[in-house]
Amino acid sequence: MGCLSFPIFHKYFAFFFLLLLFLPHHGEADNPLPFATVQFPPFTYMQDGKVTGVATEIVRTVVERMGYTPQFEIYPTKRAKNMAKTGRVAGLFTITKNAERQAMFHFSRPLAVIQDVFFKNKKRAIDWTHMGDLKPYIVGATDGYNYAPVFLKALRDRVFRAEMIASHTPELQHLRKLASGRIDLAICEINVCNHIIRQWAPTLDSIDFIQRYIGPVRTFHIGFTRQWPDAEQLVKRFNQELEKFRREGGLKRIYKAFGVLEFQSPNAHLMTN
Amino acid sequence: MKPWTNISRLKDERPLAFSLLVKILLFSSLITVLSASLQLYLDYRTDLSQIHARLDEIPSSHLDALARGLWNYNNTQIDTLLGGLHRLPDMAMVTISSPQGQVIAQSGQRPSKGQLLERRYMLTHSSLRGDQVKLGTLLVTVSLERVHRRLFSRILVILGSQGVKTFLVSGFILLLFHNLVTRHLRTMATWAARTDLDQLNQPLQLSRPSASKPDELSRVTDAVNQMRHRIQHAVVALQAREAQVQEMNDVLERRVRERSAKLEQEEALLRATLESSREGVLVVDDAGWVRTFNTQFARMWRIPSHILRKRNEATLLSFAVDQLRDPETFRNKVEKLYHSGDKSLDIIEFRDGRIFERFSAPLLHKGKITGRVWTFLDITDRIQTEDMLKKLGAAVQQASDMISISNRHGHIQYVNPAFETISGYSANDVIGQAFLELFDDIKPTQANHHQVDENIEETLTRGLTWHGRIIRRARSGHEYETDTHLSPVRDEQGRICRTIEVSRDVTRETELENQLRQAHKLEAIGTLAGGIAHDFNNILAIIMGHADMTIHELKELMEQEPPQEDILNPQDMLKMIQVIHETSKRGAELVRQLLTFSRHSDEQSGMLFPGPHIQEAIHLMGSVLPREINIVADIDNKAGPVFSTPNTLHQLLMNLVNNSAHAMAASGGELHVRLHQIDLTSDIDPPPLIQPGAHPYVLLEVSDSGHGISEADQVRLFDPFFTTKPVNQGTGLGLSIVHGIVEKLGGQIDVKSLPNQGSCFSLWLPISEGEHNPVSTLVKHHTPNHERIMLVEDELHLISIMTRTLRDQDYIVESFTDSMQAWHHFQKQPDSYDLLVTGQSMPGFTGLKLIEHIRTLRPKMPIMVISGYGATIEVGELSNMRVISKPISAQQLLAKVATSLNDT
Repeated sequence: MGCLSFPIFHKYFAFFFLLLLFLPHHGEADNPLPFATVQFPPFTYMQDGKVTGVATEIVRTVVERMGYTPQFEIYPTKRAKNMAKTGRVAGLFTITKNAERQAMFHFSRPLAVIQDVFFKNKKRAIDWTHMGDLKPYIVGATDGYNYAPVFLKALRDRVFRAEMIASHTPELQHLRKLASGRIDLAICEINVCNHIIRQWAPTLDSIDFIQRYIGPVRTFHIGFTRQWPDAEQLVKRFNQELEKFRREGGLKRIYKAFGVLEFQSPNAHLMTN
Repeated sequence: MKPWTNISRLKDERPLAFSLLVKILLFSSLITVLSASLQLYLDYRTDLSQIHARLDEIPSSHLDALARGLWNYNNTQIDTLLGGLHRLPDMAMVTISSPQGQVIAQSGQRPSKGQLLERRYMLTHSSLRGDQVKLGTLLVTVSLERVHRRLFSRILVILGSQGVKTFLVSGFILLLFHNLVTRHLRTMATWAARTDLDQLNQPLQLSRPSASKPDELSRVTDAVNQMRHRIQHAVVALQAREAQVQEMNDVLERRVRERSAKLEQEEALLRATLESSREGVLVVDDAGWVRTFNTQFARMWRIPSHILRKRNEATLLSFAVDQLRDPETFRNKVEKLYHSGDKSLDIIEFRDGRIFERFSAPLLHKGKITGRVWTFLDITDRIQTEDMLKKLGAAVQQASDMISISNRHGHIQYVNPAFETISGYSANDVIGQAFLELFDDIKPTQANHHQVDENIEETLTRGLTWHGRIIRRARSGHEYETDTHLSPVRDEQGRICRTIEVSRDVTRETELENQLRQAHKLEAIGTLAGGIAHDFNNILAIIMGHADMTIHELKELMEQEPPQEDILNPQDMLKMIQVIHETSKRGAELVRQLLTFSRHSDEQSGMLFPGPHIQEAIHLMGSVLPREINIVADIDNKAGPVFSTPNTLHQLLMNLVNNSAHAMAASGGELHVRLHQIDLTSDIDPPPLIQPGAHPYVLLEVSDSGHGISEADQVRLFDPFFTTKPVNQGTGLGLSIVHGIVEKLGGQIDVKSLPNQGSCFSLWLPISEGEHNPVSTLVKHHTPNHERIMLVEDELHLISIMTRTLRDQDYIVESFTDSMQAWHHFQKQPDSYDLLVTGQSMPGFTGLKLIEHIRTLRPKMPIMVISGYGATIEVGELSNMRVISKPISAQQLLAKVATSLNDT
C-alpha cells in the first residue's frame, strides 16, 4: 500500500496499463487448446524442457494458425489415451487409424507416414522380396507393435527366427543388437530408427536400411476427442489450416528440419503384398 | 562410593561370604562368556549361511533375466534387476562387467571398511544361432557389517541378561549360605573371641532349629564343646605347672641378675682397659657387625659418630679406605684376613702422612673363629723419627768431618768413617776408650796457645761447648790440624748424657792460608824493595866509602916510610871502622826487618806489646809511601800485650796502610795510625761481637782521607781476591789476610767509611792474660860451664869467628866444615855434645839431614840452626831446636846458644 502512495509509481502503472491496451489482439490467442501426446521421436519428444518433434511442430503451427494456443503434455500411451477418451485434452497425437480409435476420435488429415523397413548392417548385402527370403536371418521385432499383417503372419508362422523385445526403447535395442551382430535384421519405422542413428552417431553409423517397405504405408494423425466441445468443427478447421500450411510448403520445411522423409502418397513400388 | 563402601564392609566383616560371592560371580561370568560366545558363534554361522544361500539363489533368480537384458541391451531391465539384487539383505554392491572388464552397470558402492564377501557369476546367452555368448560377469559384494552389528547387539543383550541373572543367582546363593553357614560361623567366632581360659563354663550353642540328624555344623559345635572340656582340665594342670615354673623363674632371674652384675663389672673393666689403650681397637664379628671399639679407634680413624652408630663393618671400611694412600691393597688385605685365621701385622699409610701399625688376629670363641680383632697404633712420629735418624746416620756416616760420640761416662760409642780415615784409627780401636784420650796428644796451634787439653776437659765439665783449632797426631804419627767443636748433649732432665765431637781437618786449609799469606808478603816485598833499595844503597855507599877510604889510607900508610904527618891516626881509622860497623848494623837491621817480614811463619807466637812493632812497620812503610801521603802515628807502646808475632803485626799494618795509601793516591793527605788499649767500660762502642765486660782490647786504627768505600763494596771487603784496584795493581788478598789474622787472634774488625770522606779500619785485638814474654827478647841468662858444642859450617871465615867467639866464653867447641865428617864424629860420642850449631845449607849432606841423623841417636838434643834464608825450617818440625838468621853478631850468637842450652 505504501508503494501506491508514490506519485511516480502511479505514473509508471498508468503507462504499463495503456501499453497493454494498445498491444495487437490475437483473437483466441489466450484460448488454450490442450493436447496429449506420447514420446515417439522424431514425431514427438522432449528437448530442452519443451515438447517438440515433427508432428508436434506441425500441430503447433496449424493450431496457432487456427487462433488457439496449443498446450502439449507427453504422457504414457495408456494415460494419454485415457485423457483423450475422458475429454481432458482436445486431442491426441500421433496415432494411426483403426476402428476402435475412430469411435473415440475425429481424425485429422495425415500429419506423416509410417513406413516400416528392415535395418541391417551396412556391410551385409541382405535383400528380400518375400518373407520367406528372411528364413536364414534372425530378425528383431518389438512385442505389441502393430506391424503390417504380412510381417505379423510371418512371425506367427515362424518363417524366420525372431528375437522379440518388450521395452520402452525397443528401437535402440534393435539397432544396438544389429551393430553387435546379435541379430541380422530389425524391423523399424524408417524415421524413428534414422532419428536414433543420428542421435547415437557415430555408434550406429554402420547401420542402414533395406529400401523396401514392409506392408502398406500407414499414416499418423491427430485425433480430436469426440468429448471436446465442437470437436468435429475443430477437426475441420484444423484440416483446412493444415492443407493451407502444406500448400505454403510449411510441412516440407518442418520435415526437412527434423530429417524426416517427406510425406508421400503410398507408392506401390515400396509396398509389398 | 556407597556400593564400594558396602563391598568393602562385606569384605571386612564377612570375608568368607565375600570370597564365595566373588568366586560365584567369577565362575558365572566365565560360564556366561563361554555360553554367549558359543551362541554368538552359532548366530554368526547362521547369518553367513543365509547370505550364502541368498547368493546361491542368484543364478536361478536373476542371471537369466540379466543375461537377457544384456543381450537385448535393455539397460532399464538391467538396472532394475541390479537394483533388486542390491536391495537384498547385506548386499553392498552389484556390478556387471563386460568380458573385457569394463563396468557396464553397477548398483551400490563398495564399502571402504568392514569385512566383505564377494561372489562372481558368469552371464551368458544362448543365441538363436545355437552358440553360447559370453556377455559379462556379475560381481556381488556382500558386506558383513550388518552381521557384525547384529552380533554386537546380541552380545550386549546376552551379557546384560546373563549379568543380571548371575547377580540375582549369586545374591540368592549368598543369602542361603549366610542363613545356613555364615551366621553360625560368626556365632562360633564370637563365642571363641569372648571365651577365655577363665570362662570355659559357657558352652557353644547355635541358634537354629534342631535337626533330625546331626549335620556338619552340629558336629563342629559338639567337637568345640568337647575341646572346651579338655581345655578346662588342661588349664588346671597348666596353672599348677605355671606355679612351679614361676618359682624356678624367680630363682633363675636372681641368678641372671647376679651374673649380669658380674658381667657388667667385667665389661666395665674391659671397656676401661680398651679406652686406656693408646691403640685403636675394633672388634668385628663374622657377620660383619662391629662388636666393640674404643674411643681411640674412632679418634685415630676420624670416624664420625653417625657412621659408628651403624656398627657396620662395610660402612666403616668404605669410610676408612678413602683416607688411605693405597685403598685397594688395604681392602684386599682386609678381605683376605676376614677369610683366614691368620694373624697379621701391617703398616698403613694415610694420605695426610700418618702411618698406622695394624695388628689383626682372629676372634676365637671356644676354638671357633667368630670374628676378628683389629688394633691400630699411630707410629707416625716413630717412623718419622726413624727416618730422621736414618738421614742423620747417613749424614754422619758420609760426612767429611770427623765425628765421634761418647756416652755420659766419657766413653766413645761411635766414630764415623771420616774419623777413621783422617785419624787412621779404626772404630774398634777407639770405641770404648775414654773420650778425652783423643785429646791427650794434641798441640795447640799458633793461635790457640792455651793448654787446650785442660781447657777442653774444663769446658766440657762445665757443660759448655768447646771450639778451637788443635794439632793432633794420627796413628801413622803425622800431625794434622783440626777445627774442632765439642758439644755436650743433654737429656730431658738437663743432664749431660753424651758428648759429640765434630772436627774438620784444616791441615790443608792452613797450609793454603800460609801459602797465601806468604805470597802476599812476597808481593809486599816487591813493593818495599823499591823504597828500601835507596836506603840500602846509601848504607852500602857509606860502608863502601869508608871501607875504601880505610883501605886506601892503610895502603898509603904501609907504602910510606916513615909515615907522613898528615895521614890518619889510628883514632881516625877507628872512627871510620866504627862508622862502617854502625852502618853495617843498620844494613843488617834493614835486612832483618825484610827477612822478618818475608819469613814463613817460623816465629813462635808469644806475648808482645804491639807498639814497637807497629812503629817499626810505620818506619818501613815510610820509605814506600808517596811523598804526598804523610803518616801521622799515635802509638801507645804500653798497650798490650797481645799473643802474636812481630811479623803478624807488620803484616796487619802494612796491608792496612797500603790499602789507605791507595785510597789516597790521587789526593794525598794524612794517614793516621793509632794504637791504644781500650777498656770496654769506656765510652767507645765496640763491634757487635765484642762482649761488654770482656777482656780489655788493643785497638789499632788506620784511617785515611781517601775516596772511601761504597756500601756495596763494604759487604765484600774481606772476600779473598776482591779488589777495586785496576788489573795488575792488587791481588785482592790484603784485607782478606788482615781479616784472617785478626780472626785467628780472636779479635774483630770494624770498618767505617763514607764515600769521598775516607775510611777507618779498627782492629780489636784481645789482650792476652799471660805474662809478657816477648819473642824477640826471649833470652834467658845462661852461664857457660864448659858445655861441649859441635859447630858445623861450610863457610871457613864464619866458622873461625864463631869458634873463637864461643871459646872466648869458655865453651868447648868442635868445629867441622864438612857435615858428613861431623856426623861420623858425632856417632862416636853421641852423648858427649850438649849442643849442635849447624848451618842450614851445605853441599851434599845438608844441615837438616845432619839434624835428622843426630836426632835418631839423640832425639832431645838441643840444636841451633844458622840460616841464611830466613825461615826455611818449620819451628815445629823438629823439637828443641832454635833458628838464628844470618848475619849474626857475636852477642846474638851467644844469646841464642845460651837459650838453647837453657832448654835442656
